[in-house]
Amino acid sequence: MIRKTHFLISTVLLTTVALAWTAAFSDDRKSHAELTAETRQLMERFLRLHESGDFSLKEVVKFYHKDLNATYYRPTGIFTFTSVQQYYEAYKPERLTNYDFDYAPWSEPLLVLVDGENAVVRYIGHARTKEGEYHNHYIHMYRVRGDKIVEYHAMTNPHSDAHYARNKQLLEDLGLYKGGQ
Amino acid sequence: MMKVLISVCWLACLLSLYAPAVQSQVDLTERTRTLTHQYYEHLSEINPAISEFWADKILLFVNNDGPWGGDFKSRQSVTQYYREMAAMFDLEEGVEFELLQTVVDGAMAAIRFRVKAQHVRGSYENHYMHVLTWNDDGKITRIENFYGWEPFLALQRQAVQQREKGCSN
Repeated sequence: MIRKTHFLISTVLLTTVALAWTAAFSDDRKSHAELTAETRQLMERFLRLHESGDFSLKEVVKFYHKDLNATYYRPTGIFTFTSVQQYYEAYKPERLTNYDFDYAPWSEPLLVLVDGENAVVRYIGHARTKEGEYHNHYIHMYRVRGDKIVEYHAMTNPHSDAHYARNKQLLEDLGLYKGGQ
Repeated sequence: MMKVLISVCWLACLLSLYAPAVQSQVDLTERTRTLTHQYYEHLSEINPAISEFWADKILLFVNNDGPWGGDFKSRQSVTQYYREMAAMFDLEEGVEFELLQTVVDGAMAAIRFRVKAQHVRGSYENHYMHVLTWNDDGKITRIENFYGWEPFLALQRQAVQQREKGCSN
């Protein structure tokens, strides 16, 4: 009787330990295909939001991990954000309205590639700015952790009348402009 | 019983159609991954044999309205583009490449890498992103090349300032 009880208790304990271990490491054991499928779903939801043309920055930052690490490589410099809060403070609509444009952007995705927890998105961002239309080519490379974007690197090519003129002037001043327009 | 058997047969038929398609997509991605790594090795070694990866009808799109931007639509013009880029650097000083991220999906791939080199106007460090499209023959039909302007502009600004300083003296 004692042996049986002993055996039962040991079995229950071993099973509990095995289940806890499985739960703790379940994320690490996802296959590459599973991670790719999850990342693809996340990116599809993220892009649907951007395509809607009616979204707030608060909705966008919900996709970002609190420890977001984002870098923009712009003609005017390289800008890095090391938290989602810092990103929000920089891009919150009231700041953009004062600083840059009438915040009504929408996006046109050109390409989405997904590979495990990595993704690439090519898109054109459209907006109405104080200085005219804004059509900016972007490439973003993302890393995902869990169900959030934890890192991204963005390169932009100013392709609006205002930005184009401003950058053309900058390049002409520097003797670098080779474009035809 | 018969209905169950028919359903099972249908399911097996569907699976036999679906499974090879999934497997071929996985195979294609892994083939693209291998080719992309080989391409990056040639790029980072500044190996002229990199042109062997290009299809006859290659298109290089450089997303940049400024200098060196535009579409290059032949092996010859792509070679010329890379020659002009290389001429801006002191290659004997060495060029350091660091691969930072790779994304491969079917016949397409994207790589992100950092380049450190000695530009003719000073030390240079920049980030690049390339999107590559591979064809069935294992050749690249399209390269999209993105990079930041700022490091080039910073070097150019220095040169302009030095020139102005020279004029005022």
